[in-house]
Amino acid sequence: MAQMTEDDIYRTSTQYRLWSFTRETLASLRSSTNASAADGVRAAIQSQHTAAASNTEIEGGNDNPFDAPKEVDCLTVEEEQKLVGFYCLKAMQFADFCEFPTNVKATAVQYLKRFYLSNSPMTYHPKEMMAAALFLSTKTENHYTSLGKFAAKLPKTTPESVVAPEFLLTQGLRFTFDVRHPHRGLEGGIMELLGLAQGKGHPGPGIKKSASQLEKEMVDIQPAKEGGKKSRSAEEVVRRIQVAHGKAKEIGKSSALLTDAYFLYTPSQIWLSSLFLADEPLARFYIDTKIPTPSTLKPKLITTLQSCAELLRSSASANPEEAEKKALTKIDKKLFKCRNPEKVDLVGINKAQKRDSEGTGENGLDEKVVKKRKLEREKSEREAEDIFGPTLAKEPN
Amino acid sequence: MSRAPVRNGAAPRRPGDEDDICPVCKSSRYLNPSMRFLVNPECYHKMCESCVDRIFSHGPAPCPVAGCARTLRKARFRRQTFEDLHIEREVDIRRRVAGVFNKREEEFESLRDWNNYLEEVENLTWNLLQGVEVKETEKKLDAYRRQNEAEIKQNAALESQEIADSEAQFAAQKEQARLRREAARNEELDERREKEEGRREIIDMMAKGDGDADAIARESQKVILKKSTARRTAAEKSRQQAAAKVDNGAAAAPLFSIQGLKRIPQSVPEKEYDPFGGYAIKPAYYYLRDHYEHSWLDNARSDAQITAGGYDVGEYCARAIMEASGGLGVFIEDEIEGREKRVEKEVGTASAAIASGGGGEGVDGDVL
Repeated sequence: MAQMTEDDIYRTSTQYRLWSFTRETLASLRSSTNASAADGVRAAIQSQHTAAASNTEIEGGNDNPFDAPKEVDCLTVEEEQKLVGFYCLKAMQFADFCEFPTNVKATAVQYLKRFYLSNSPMTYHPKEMMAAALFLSTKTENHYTSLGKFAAKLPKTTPESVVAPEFLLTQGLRFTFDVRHPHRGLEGGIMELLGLAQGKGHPGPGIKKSASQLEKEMVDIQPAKEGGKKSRSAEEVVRRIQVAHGKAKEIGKSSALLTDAYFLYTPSQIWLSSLFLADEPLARFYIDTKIPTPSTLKPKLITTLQSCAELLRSSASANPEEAEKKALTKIDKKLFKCRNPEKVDLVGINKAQKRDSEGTGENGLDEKVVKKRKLEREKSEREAEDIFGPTLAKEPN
Repeated sequence: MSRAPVRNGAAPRRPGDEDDICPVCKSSRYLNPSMRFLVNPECYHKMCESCVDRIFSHGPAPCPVAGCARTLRKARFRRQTFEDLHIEREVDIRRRVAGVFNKREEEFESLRDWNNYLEEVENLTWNLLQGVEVKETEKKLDAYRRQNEAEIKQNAALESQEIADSEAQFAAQKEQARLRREAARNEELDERREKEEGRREIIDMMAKGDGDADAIARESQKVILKKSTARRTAAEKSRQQAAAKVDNGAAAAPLFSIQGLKRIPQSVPEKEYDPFGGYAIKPAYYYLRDHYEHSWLDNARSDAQITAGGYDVGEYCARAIMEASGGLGVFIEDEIEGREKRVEKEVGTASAAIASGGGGEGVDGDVL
């Protein structure tokens, strides 16, 4: 009988296998993505320029309005990060506006974060990806929303523009849609703490303490803030847990999503860190009931939780201030100049790639090709209705 | 020949009776129309009944056929079954050998073993038939019989049981068919009688002369019709009952058994199906309790809208508690270090491909 611990189960998830990184890998990944995207942008602008220049020459050389292309000023990694963060925030606001549950919101934000690990905002603008990510997460999180209604709620959005980048997005996600969130874990932890507070709890394996003993110990936990009052009864402990629960939940819904916590830590570490931020003595007590005292695991876990808590505390605020907004507008303006011109019209690209695209515009396929395909299809349909079926395909000799 | 028409009122001729002259006493059928020929399986020389009586009544005597001189006993003389005495002899020998070597196919592990055994037995039989090494063969046969007496007896019993079973089954089927036929005949008779009675009643009523003749006829017709339907349903019912009885009988006594089935060894009861193939969660950090308190679970526990759909709060609790500690001891900083290089390479190439403009065109090959 093969037995797996909770840790082994987490190790089987795609979040662990594909989407967990160390800080260094994460940084190098982002910079390499930024560099290759910048190269792409420069090459695309260059080729556009030469094409435009040749056109003007044919028309009879006016004063060349397109000078030799200036060196394109591309976004830096930090600017990209800020921009993506901002659109993550937007996605959260929009999810709140649509009254989506937390898991849909959180998944959409993580989709954006994961997508922009291997793609740059210079290539695909986060504004378009945001809608696609949110819509995809309603599907993967089993929260049905019709495309029409969804698109109608967003300004300047059509159903086509929501769906157009969807395949790109799934490609960027490496077709892994499962995101492990800390939210349910937090509820589980709170349920256990409440049980302990009421004297019905059970400590983890290897800890020999009775439920009533733990209940008493719980009353003796140091207050959350220095100089705060110690709780005196089980009821007060329960109230304390509920307060901590509320705070930790808020952190899990905002800071945990907006930072890189999902890439760097496991969900259970994230929720424990948010509990750490909300009520440190309580979190320490909880860990004491899980892991027996003489172990190497505990100090390591505590340091990991502390670093995670630090990360969560440093998170960008959910309500950016004026100065930050200004900086963002600046980045957006800069982005306008350094976008990859080949990737601007995602709807057009998507249409052209579809097999049955008809009347494709300048961005799509040759009209001749479309017409030829249409004729072929009609012919095969006609032949299919023939009593002996269509002619057999000739063997290529 | 044996089916030749009966001549002169004599007994129907059997195989071996076609000769008209007894080879021993030379008396002919012309003089003795009821002459019958007998053979002794010792030497298969044919002689007439009166010769057998004459020669062997006083005890064993040598065969009167010239050059044979085997000692024969009267008791073993019998009428021949087959026209050809060679076949008669072969059948006798085969029956004897088969009586000793009566192993069954089920007793062998493989078809090959069974076939080998059959071949050995056939060799023995052939030796006896052809008169090759008769003594040794007989010795072998005898030795085998003595060694495996119990087994032979058991197999013989089994075989006779099988034969009896099939015979009983056949008889039961026959009996059933007879009953069916009889029931059908009775039914028909009843119907006819009733019809007759009905008609007589009509005539009586008409003769009494009260009422319209047409009305009487119509009324009586209706009665007859009703009666016949009632009878038919009753007959149907009894038929069904009879069939059910036969079925029950079959279930009670093994009248019916399928032949040629291999005896299957008692199979071991199947293990309970485990959808996880033996995998199980063994929590390292918690014990799962039966009941958890949480403000929003109370609602889910009591709300009919939720419980009616089969929502199990216990499942949710188990999952939540599992996720609360799942990955607690997984330190990504350390664990990812080892596979970092591989991931970096993989993602690096993927990101390069996508970012350099290849990503969007990933499906182009399909289109063009």
